[in-house]
Amino acid sequence: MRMTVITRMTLLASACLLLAACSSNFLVYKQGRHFYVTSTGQELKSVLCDSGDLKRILEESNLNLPLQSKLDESICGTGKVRERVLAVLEEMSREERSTLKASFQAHGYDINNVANC
Amino acid sequence: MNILFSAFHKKRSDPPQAVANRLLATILVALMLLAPSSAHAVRTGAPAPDFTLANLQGGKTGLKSFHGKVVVLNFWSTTCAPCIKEIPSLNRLYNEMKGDGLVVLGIALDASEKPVRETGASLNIRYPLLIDASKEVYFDIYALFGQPVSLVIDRAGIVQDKIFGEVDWNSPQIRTKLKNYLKGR
Repeated sequence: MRMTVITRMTLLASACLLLAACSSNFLVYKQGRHFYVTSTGQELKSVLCDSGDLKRILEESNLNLPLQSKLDESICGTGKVRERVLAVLEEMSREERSTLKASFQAHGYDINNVANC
Repeated sequence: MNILFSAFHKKRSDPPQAVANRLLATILVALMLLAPSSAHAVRTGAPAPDFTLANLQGGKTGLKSFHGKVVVLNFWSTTCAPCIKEIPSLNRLYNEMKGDGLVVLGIALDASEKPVRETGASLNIRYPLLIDASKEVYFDIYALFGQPVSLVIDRAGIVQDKIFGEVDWNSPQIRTKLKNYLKGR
């Protein structure tokens, strides 16, 4: 009986790891270099956040202010969580994503060009 | 929420197996609840949003025209090595199952047609190749991230699977799954 439970728990954990091993991600590119938007690294922070680029991208996107704030907080805020960034992007409407993409492009960024897993 | 609480409430008469089963069910429910919501993004269990894209033959191809078939949407680009690596197995699968109603649409995210056309020729890709250079379908409509990423849509137009990363399309698991969708299961 105990073996059955342990086996099932092991299988469940393996399934979860498998799902996490190669998941989706959001990348931006500037001047030929790519950055995971979900990254908590200094380089992404320096290029996208500290430079003021994301603020300008959001302001010029004309997305509604609460959404701008949510995106700014999820991408450049402290305590960043990968799933939260992706969830905010997924919750947006088609038109909002289109507007955001265009604003990234207007500021020299492209999105998701290569494999990331 | 009662399900969550009752799962941990062990009755004296419950055999250990029943408790274990309830615990597993609870973990699965919790995982589902913790998954990010995606009100506007394409999601499994929901209808696949329609789209129309340019194909390499100079015409347009719309998803709606394949209603009643099992459709695999494979988002890829010529600069993505894992995308290129999985194409031969997807091509074989298509050749084998197209007679049973399988449609594969290779949706290239490249900025221009030329490399897509060249790769299509060098790999002898038999399924239709469409161009989504502006990523309108990939990002705006479907809210997908990463490459390669594939969606499996059943005969009713419902997204059954979202597959991230390179896979072997001829693996027994994928073949069995697709055969079941083709049989309408």
